[in-house]
Amino acid sequence: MLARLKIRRYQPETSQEPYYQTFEVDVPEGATVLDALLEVREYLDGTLTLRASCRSSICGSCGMRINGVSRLACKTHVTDVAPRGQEITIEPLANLPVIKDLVADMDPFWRKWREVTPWLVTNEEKEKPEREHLMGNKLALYLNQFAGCIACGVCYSACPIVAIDDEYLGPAALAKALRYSYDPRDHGKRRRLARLAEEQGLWRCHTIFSCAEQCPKRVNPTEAIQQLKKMVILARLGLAR
Amino acid sequence: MAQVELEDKVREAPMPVAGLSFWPWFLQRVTGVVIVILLTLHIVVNHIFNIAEVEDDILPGLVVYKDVADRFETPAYWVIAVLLLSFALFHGLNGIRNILLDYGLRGMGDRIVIGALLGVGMAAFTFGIIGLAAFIA
Amino acid sequence: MYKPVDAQFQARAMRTGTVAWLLQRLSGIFLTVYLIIHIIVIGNSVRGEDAFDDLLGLFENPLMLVLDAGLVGVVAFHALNGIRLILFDLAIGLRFQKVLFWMAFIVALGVFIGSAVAVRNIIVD
Repeated sequence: MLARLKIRRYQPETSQEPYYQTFEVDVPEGATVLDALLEVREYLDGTLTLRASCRSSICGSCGMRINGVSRLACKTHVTDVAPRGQEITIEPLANLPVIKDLVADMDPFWRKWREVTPWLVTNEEKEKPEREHLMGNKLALYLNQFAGCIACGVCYSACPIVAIDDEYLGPAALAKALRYSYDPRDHGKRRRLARLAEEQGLWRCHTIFSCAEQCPKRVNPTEAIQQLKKMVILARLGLAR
Repeated sequence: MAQVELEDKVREAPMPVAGLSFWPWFLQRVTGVVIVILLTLHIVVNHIFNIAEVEDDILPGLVVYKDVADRFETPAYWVIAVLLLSFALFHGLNGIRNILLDYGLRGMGDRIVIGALLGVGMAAFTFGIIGLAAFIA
Repeated sequence: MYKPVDAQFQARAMRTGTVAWLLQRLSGIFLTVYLIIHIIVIGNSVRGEDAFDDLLGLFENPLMLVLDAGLVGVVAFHALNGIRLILFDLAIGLRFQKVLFWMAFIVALGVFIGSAVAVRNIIVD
């Protein structure tokens, strides 16, 4: 099966201008876009630069825009995006600076991730635990969704607000914030929510849902953000117990 | 979806968040809900319930001075009008600020925009009240 | 390094949620501008009954009446979609976001058509 890839190249050693280059490769019927890209790199152009690792949608490396839609290349079958052999447009993730070809600079993404205190804050210095911390099973299952984020950046790339506001924390960081804020073992809610309730935090989300629709691991950042907003509302109105 | 108890979610006192992030967002929703109700009343009362008699050269549903002046004899109408004026101005102008915030407006620029919107809002509100008061005189 | 151009307004990125957001924004700007104009027009009451009625008479031609019907439709959309957003803020209906949008849009369209019919009846008579 022939796969026709129109790839957005950027090779800063040779030119400061990005450009499009088209390749045609022969791939098996069930091939993914990642398979096709690796085929290009292997046999047609060894300078093609992209991130990839597990090729089974768990490492989160191969996030990119395929026909304008942000998704994982390893999870996108060629026949899905090009059922009649059409050209497939491949570009790096949106809303991030591009280092080379399809490799986006994830530094802004990680910087915002760190800002939401994405770890469990314990109070074990004040209260020595006498037994293990318990969490209800239902709650654990609910949080599983947000713990399952693979930090691929697809949601960040899909969000129109991230596109227009450089400071907006973005869906991934905020979804992660819920994972910890809802955790009964966590004692960092005050500090975390204070950061989220700033202007570039929760309030910039307008429930556009692009993130939830495109997440390859079915995380729903919109749901997380709305639950966080509810927490802030209750706290601000003094209704929190 | 799991039923999550309130105690599980917020176990701490309200956090000290200062600044103009929460209240404008919250009031945008509150004013929105109130406006939906009052605006429906406003449109229906002004254009569907014709209190005064329809004169020959005036089409039904259209507003004339006399109709409005008559309605202002009811205090409830005054309350609705002033509420609608203030809430709608807040909602609309705060909405403009929201759009600018989405495009990254922060800091000094934000303060300038707030000042400008407050200015426009105050002026429009004052003009509106004067206009409404003229119907009683 | 270079930063790619914003992808948000590509045709392919136009999904229900994005369209709803844009329409809410555009209708909001339009209605705010209309509000200011409306306050100014009604404020003409200070010039007395005759001046006021003359001014409002300008809005009695068919074109203005049709625009009025359009305005009511825009208000209805903004209000109904706004309620949809408030439901989301209460974490209600997040799973039905597309259905809720179309409900808001279709009802608003119905309101516009109803107003247009009423306006047509006024014009014809």
